[in-house]
Amino acid sequence: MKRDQNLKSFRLLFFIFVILILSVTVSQTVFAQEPEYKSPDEMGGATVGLLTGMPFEDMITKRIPDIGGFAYFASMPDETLALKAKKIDAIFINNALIDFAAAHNPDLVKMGDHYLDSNFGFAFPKGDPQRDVWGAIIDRMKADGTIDALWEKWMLSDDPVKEMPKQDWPGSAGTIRVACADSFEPMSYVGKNKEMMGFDVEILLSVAKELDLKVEFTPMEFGALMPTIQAGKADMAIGDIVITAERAEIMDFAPYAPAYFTMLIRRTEAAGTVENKSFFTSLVESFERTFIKEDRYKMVLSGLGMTVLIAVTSAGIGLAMAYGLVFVRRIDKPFYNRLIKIYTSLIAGIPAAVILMVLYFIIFGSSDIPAVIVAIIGFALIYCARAYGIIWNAVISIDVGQREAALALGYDESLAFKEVILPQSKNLYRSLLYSQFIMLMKETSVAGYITVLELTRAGDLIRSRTMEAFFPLISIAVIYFLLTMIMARIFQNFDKYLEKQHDSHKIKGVD
Amino acid sequence: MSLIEIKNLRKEYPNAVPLDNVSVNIEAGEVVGIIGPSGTGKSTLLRCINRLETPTSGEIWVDGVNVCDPNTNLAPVRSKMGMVFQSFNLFPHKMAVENIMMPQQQLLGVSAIDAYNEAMAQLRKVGLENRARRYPDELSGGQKQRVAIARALAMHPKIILFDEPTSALDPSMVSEVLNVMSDLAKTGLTMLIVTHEMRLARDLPSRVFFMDQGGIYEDGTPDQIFHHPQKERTRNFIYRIRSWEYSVGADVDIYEMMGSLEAFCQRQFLGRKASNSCQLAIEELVTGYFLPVLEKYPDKTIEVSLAAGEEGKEIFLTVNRKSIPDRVELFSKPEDDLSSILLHKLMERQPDREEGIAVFHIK
Repeated sequence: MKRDQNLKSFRLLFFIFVILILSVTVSQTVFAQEPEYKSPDEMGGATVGLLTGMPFEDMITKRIPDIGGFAYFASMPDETLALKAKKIDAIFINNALIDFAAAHNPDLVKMGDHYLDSNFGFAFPKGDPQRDVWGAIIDRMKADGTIDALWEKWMLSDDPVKEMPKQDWPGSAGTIRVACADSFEPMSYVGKNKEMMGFDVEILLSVAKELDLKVEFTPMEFGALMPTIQAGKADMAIGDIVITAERAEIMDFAPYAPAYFTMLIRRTEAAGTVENKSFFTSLVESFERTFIKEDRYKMVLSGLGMTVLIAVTSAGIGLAMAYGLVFVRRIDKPFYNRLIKIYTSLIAGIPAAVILMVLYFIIFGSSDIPAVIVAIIGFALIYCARAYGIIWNAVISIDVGQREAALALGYDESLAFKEVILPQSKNLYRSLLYSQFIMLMKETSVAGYITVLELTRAGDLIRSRTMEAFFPLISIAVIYFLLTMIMARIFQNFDKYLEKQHDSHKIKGVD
Repeated sequence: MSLIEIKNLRKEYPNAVPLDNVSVNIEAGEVVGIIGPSGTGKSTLLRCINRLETPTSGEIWVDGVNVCDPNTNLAPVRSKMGMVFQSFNLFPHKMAVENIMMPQQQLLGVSAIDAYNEAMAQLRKVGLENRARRYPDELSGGQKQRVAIARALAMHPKIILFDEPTSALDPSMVSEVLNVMSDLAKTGLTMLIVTHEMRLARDLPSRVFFMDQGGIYEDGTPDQIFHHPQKERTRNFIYRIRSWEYSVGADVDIYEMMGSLEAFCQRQFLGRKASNSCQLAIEELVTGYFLPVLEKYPDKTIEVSLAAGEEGKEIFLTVNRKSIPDRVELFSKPEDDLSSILLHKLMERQPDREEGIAVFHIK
């Protein structure tokens, strides 16, 4: 028995070890020389990566009529990863991100030509008078060189540790809620201690200081910025937003820096330029970048905490609601039965991410409920529907004689259900509820869609900073795996405890 | 007023009417055996009395309360009326003693300790004190049924309804339940027993209902019903349950025949020796004498029947060979033939009642 367990843990360690080796080997940088494409004319058949929410396909097709196709990504690091892994051949994105990515990835290079010369801008709801107030201050900052200095600081400075101003003003004019993209280094990203950092953020804070406004940041994916403003969940949105005609139709913008779009492409591999870092050095460097630098382990830990918090609370609430539904179902009124049926089929038929977004942007769109609470509500609804189905199926499989015996003794229907039927069905549904819980815990990874910073999202943010995908991804995978293993072990022990209770032949209130 | 008064009770199912205009009174202290062919509403009657079934029309008054009135709160009436099921229906997640404690605590508000003491007292009555902390799946069928009886008794009911209490039991376990029930019958408790078990229907009750044709077809003392039935259907039924018949042809399924014979012997409590003798005699007759003859007359049959007397003391085997041509002698074998010697030891031929029907007395 003991040996068995040792063997099991050994196998597990071995497994993790192999994954780490793989991750490090794959992520070894390959130096390269010539750009893969000299001009857009050579890009026939190439696949171009776009961020979700960037409608530039027409523009690209006009310039490169024989383009191979488009692929869509949620964040810049995902795109960078795909480009390096040759899943795509180019990334179409704005100058700020391309300059930064090219500076951090020697094997990637910017193409020379420009598309859509425009500006970066802060987004305000259509017709919001605040836009002009902010616009005036920003224009002044442009004129007096403040913005140029900040651009220098964030784009070109080699200083790895960039300090952000603290919000030390009184904030007598109130608070402004800002939706900000969280994975666009150097424009707008989550830095040390989950602090919002970047060029955009610092300009924002400078203006806010002048207006004596406190800023409340809600970090989120780029694609969630516009819906958040439209749902009224934030007063403005920032984070690498380039002003385009389409966007200007639904938002008002205060421009603060020139922007244009272009392509980021690979350099061709050249023989003999492979960097020869030892395996161990690479491992240590990857680990350091992913976890130690800027105390990123704290972000992983808080993400882990958030994942567990959402999973446990929503499962708890969901289970309580499921019991409630089971009791309602027992009464067997056609109207309630139909309601339950509608509810469970709705939940069963809609993906978790969509449920969460509908709740966040539509149902709770106009209220100030924090995203975490919305996530808990969403997952509670999901868990409740599944748990209800499981419990009810177990309940109806109990022999009808049990109900009759209870009734014949003088129990009424509901007491018979509560004291006789339900306790017996527990053994039938318990293990199913466990596995549903494990599934739910993994599903909470989509909470990032509604700005919740859970484990998967924490991994995304780290990737957006390190510009390295494999090590953070594999680490997150291992953490999830260990988490589910621990949960499974807890359930196993709980079962053992129940079994022991059962086998102790002890009588409550007598022994 | 009688303890149970049933007035014009009718119960319809979509495809049958098991109870049609049943009216009967049952007095406190009566032990009523309810017998009859299957599908004649015996269990339905019982289940109507505690309203596990809802009657189509009519009234059932139990201890002054009309249980058929939709406004009646059934729980208190039911708790005065225990029920013992064919399939025991113990709560499998609770130990034997907890099965008995639970209803007391949850329905009568008895404390755990008092409920425990009461439960142990009831278990003592049914002889299962030392099985108190077993879970139902750790008990034999007979033990489960005794716990179920103890569970009903702990609620101090005025009436106990028994719905085929021994039908699901292994024959070897029937007696332990019978003994407990027969002790109960002596305490003056009102009992209604639906059963196929002869001893249960005949020896315990003070009154027997024979149910057929949508109601209580004949109502009388056990002596009347079992020994002097007044009506023809009762007579046929009683004769049938007390006799075994088999039609032997050339294609007889010996195993099926022996199986049904064995079941009959057990039902009649013939005892091991007597039932062995019967089975041996019939097997020997059929294989040794009848089959060789029947092979020559593949379209003929020989009727064999077995009838048991009181307590299985007298058993008569009747062989009806009327369909076999006269000149064939069924029982002709040399005196020193082995099977002939065996049969002589097992049974004794009686004078023929009529031409073609031979009667044997099994020793």
